[in-house]
Amino acid sequence: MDHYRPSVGTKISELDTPCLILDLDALDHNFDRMSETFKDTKVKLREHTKNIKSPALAHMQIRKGGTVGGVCSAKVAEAEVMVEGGIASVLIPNQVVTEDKIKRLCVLAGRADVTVCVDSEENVRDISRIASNLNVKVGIAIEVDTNMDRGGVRSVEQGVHIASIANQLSGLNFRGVMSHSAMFGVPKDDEFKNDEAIKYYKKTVELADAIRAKGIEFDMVSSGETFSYDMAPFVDGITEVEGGMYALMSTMLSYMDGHFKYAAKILGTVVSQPKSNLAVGDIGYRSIASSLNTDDPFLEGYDEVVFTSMHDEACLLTSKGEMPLTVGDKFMLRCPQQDLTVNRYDNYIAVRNGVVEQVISIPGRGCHN
Amino acid sequence: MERPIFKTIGSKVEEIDTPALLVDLDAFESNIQSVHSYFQNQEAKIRPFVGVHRCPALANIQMQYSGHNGGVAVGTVSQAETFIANGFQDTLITGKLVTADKIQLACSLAQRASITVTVDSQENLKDLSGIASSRGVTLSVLIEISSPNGFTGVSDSQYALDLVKKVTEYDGTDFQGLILAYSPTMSGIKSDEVIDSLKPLLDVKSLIESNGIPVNTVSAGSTSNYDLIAKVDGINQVTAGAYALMDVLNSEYQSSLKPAAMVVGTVGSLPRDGLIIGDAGMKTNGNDIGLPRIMNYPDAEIMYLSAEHCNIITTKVKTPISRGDKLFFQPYDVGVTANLFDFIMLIKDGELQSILDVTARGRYR
Repeated sequence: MDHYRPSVGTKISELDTPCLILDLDALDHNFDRMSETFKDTKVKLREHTKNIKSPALAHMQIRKGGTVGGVCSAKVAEAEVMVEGGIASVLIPNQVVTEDKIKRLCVLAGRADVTVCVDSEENVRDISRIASNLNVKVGIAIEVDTNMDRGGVRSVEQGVHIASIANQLSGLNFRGVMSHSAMFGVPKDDEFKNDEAIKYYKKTVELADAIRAKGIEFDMVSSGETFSYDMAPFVDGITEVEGGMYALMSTMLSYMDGHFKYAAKILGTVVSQPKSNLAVGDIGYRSIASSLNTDDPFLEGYDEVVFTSMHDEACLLTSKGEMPLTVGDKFMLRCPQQDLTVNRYDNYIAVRNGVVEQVISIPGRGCHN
Repeated sequence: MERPIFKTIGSKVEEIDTPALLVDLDAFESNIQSVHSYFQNQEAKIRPFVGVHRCPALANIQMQYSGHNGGVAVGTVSQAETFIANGFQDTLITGKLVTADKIQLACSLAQRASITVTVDSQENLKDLSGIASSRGVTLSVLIEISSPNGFTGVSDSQYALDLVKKVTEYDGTDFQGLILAYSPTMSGIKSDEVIDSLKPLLDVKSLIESNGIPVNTVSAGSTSNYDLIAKVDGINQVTAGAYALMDVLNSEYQSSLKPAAMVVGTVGSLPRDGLIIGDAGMKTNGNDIGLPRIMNYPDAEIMYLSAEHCNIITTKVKTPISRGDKLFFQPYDVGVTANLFDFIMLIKDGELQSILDVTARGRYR
């Protein structure tokens, strides 16, 4: 664990590195954008905390408005962190299948409004049995696969079947339908992106309508992502959007940077200058997550310098001409996929106007369970 | 912080809450025995690079096997802080310390432990010496020599010699020797390329010695090439780390070493024929430079990892797989994977033996 908590007022140029910087102006912009989008619409935001991993940040968005008053958390452990941090409603858009983890889920459901997603009858029956034994009610939503070929039912019939069972069993509170979708790569234009978004929303609503046609009532049709957030108000039947990456942004979503600003960055220091056009930084792929699916991190503020490659604990920057950065200078990298990087840090160093304003803990770090 | 459900000691490995990082004690000790015994018969000794697993408890087991030179190596000064707090007296920090904060911390540590730093520039040397002498401590210095795929290090031998002379002149620094810049393990590197990469290092060594300055330490190597490098005349230290836990990346070069580190996940969904979804994705396996290997279903194929999930194609798998079944992954790069967990579940004979803290996890500074 890292215990780095610099004092308030420390200049960015004086920070020890690598560290995770949270740009509060950018964060405010992103939270405001969401609250303005959903303030006056039927559909509301349910922020996904797999990206921020901090109840403090989740509360900021909830206070801004436009939300369901709750969040979405990837795992039971992450949901615990949010409930302990005062969040009243959590949706887990994932399957929880082992006996001891279902027990833990049930205990949490005794303290907050907790909904978990299912895609099999067997799993619904397990949750019902354990929840009944513990005398709690767990919210159940049916997960429907849209385009990720991941968890989720593959047909309307299958979804209706599981919903009918969930609606009858004790220990359960049938809540509705959930889907997750992804934009693989960069969409060729906004029209394509928006068409894809609407297609996935409609697939989710299709299942919701079929379940309602069986006389089953519920209030949750949860879907959406950062890439599709602004299309949700145009699709009747969607009640909430699960955006997450918007809060801190990633370069893999650079096509959304007209909507949201880069709020999470890794601050590094140049540690060596082997040639006049090269600089070696102290950030490697342990301190800024990389992946086979994404591009390299992006260096901010230097048009003539490019991020060239990285090792586990160092990176190489190359300049077209003389390198403007010298040993000891600071630089900032934007994350290719920010949630993977936040998951590697224990604290946000939150800055405004070039100085530290606050250090915010990341208690959801490592909550994989 | 990670929040696993802690199981009682003696629990079966299949009962462990997932995703979790497991270390098989027998495989771990077998790897240490195998590599350290190799060094027992060489002039060169291993200095375990414990920054790979970041776990002092594992490092203590490594140091129980002779063949090492009494010290450990880490990547950063904040990792050194952790290991020294856990009793390691002789620590090499391979990352450059260029900020005053880091140099001050190294000097604080040097008050009660032996700290060795690597240097590739006169400016940095001046800063290190200035702060160390004002604090009344001495930092041991290895001059870093550039390598074919390395980022840092001195490439001009005269510059290296000048740097060595300055180290010996300055207060607060003590010339210890030379180290070859870290060169990452990559697929397809041949033995003669490994040996050739040492030439600049050995040339600088000769140059310094011909100027009457003794070179006590000449350090190079990693898990992928320790056996080649340890035999080279003039090399007396190898800083290898992944050998103890092993990973997919190094198995190309060290196939006799055993996979001791594993991520265990659980099948959470079987949404269609030939596809299973597990709970171990990029946040627990890492996907920075390569995909993990599925150990218990060799015919299964990873379709993709997302942040929290793994999509696995099972069309070629003969045995039936059910919801709740376990998936065992060998990390592609164990240094990435160990840094994602706060706890290591130590396993012996398929049962939980103890739970270790990954104390230096997240210590990038």
